[in-house]
Amino acid sequence: MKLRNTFLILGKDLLMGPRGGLFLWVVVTPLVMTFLIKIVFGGLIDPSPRLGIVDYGSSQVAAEARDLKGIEVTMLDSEENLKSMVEANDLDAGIVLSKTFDQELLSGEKPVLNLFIGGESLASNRIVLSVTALDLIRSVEGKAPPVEVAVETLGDDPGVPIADRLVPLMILMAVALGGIFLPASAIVQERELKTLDAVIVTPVTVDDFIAAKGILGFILAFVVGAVTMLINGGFTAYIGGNLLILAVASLMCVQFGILLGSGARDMTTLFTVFKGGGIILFAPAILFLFPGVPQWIAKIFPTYYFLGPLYDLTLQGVALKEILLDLGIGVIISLALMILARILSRKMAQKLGT
Amino acid sequence: MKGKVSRFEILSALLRKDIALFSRDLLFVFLSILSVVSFAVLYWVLPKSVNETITVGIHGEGLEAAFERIAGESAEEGMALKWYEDGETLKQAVTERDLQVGFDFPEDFLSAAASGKGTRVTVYVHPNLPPEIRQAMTSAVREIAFAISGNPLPVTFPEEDTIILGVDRAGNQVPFRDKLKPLYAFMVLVIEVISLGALISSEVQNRTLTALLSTPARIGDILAAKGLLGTFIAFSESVIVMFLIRGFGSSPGIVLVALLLGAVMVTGLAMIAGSAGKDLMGTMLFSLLFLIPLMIPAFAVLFPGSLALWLQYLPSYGLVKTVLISTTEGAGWADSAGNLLMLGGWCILFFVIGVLVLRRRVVTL
Repeated sequence: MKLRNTFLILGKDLLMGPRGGLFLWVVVTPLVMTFLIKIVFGGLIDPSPRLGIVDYGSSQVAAEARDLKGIEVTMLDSEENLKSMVEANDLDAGIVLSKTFDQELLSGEKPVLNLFIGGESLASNRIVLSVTALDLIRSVEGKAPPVEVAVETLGDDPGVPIADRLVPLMILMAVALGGIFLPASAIVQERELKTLDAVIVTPVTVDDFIAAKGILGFILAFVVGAVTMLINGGFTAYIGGNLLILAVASLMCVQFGILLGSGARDMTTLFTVFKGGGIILFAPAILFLFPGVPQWIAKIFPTYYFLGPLYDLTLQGVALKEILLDLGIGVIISLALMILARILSRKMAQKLGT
Repeated sequence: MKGKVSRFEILSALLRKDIALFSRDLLFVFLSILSVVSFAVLYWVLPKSVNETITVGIHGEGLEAAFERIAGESAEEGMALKWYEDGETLKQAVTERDLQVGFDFPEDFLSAAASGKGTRVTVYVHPNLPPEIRQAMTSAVREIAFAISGNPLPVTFPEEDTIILGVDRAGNQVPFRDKLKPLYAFMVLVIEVISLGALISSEVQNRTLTALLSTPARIGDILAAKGLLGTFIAFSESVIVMFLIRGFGSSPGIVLVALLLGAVMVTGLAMIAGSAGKDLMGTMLFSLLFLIPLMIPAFAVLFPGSLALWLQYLPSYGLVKTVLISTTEGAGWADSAGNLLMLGGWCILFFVIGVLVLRRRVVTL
């Protein structure tokens, strides 16, 4: 293997690659998926209660409701509109404040509070919205409560919110497309189009060719992974640690990519393997979404050995030295895969007649 | 030598060839099974119910009766109350996350609140408790004190049956995994668009389609074979996935019709993508161009609330809505007819366009 040849091919790929669909696919897909996943799952699993208010006068209750934390407040212009939105589950609940609501309240006349609850709203949201609405009314009423409430926060572990638990999944997607899909499809495509046959009649060997594709995959996986991490706020104080994890992730993914590219008969087979075997790669990231599932299951899968450290370092705030063992196992797995990839690429070279 | 062969024999031969090619590829068969099983496993590991309860621990002497009177039904729906004998145990339960919230009432709470004498209640929460629940729980404590001190509610409410709008699903919410059923069905079909598109694309590139035309097979036979094969694979895989995730609900016939129409539609899409792409990557990009907008309804139904009007005109909406309402709401033929008709319309449109585009591609080779 000659490094000069490898870098010649790499240079050509870096120059020509961005003109093709493959680069676009590898770079754009993780960013689009990041956006979709954040939008869809970020707000879906922990949705805020939604309250609609129709204020026919200019009630202080409506004014104070706008400042509520953790509740989506929508001001509406008619009771009919509010009722149809509550019924369609576009709102969890709605209140209608009459023109003289505040006056009646302050004069002790007990005004009617038209409160509507959506049938599909969660029972917990019904309680939150009803009690909060009542509390707002009490505050406008101005009567001092006969009790002082002190809130004490216990423990310093805030847990990991669902939106953050998605970060490993998004980073894996970025690294897997660049690290696995790019080298694998480049190898298979060049073999199918016979351009590889043309290349190896020159001083370039199959090893040079595969090394170039591997380095290209590593660079793209690392860069797209870092950008995805940046977008998702995954970089912690341990920037060096994050970059180290990304390097191990890219290294492992590239080995999978070379294995796949050397072993797959054609693009259809490659796709089938990627689609079917994807669950093995993505399983740890999916398991992180469900803290109730025993986390040892994730350790069965090779990608855990960079996703686990990533999760611990960025989301749990674990010290760098504590993740080094898992990361080391990740490097060992990558080296083992490298040996396997080398065997397969040798077989491929033999078939090509070199 | 045999004389003239019938169209049926030619079609059968083409289908046998394609099926043989698929089944010979053991890896393809194995991984197709693996992907189907993966969807099923994902369905079964997701929670089977919706947690809509706030777990509250209470320490306070003589307060059980007062709580029962004040909290009423909410103690059963939306709030789970657990009583503790001392404040320390309560505090520990919140710290260990057995509870979301703890109310620690002082021993003289009842008498102090009733006499209007100031008293102090501690509400224990853990750090990631959403702010709206934290706020609501402190409000609840104040309201309890108001009630005990003889201060009734400052407002009156209309009758309870006018308050709940729509079907009351409290305690009977549709679990997230069931809302995902249309997405599973659609994802299987999506995967088949890409796979079939890639297959067509490779046959176009390798000119095997042209080679077939030098046999008694006509373009129509080749297109029919591809259409039948694509529909069969997409339909059978989606049926298996729906079976594994109990996705047929009370009206299996409706779901089967929806899946069949969906399979025909994606076969049409695969023909368009397979013909249009210059190579596999091109085919994939074309597939994505169609699939991203088509996936929107499957994601959108996961959100609470009504869908925007424009979403209801997307080709996949009929499939998603039919599967969703027949599996989660027990909808019958009359409820699904509109959605199925719309899906049928899109299905014919895409299939016809797909056949025309592929035909043109084969002719120009």
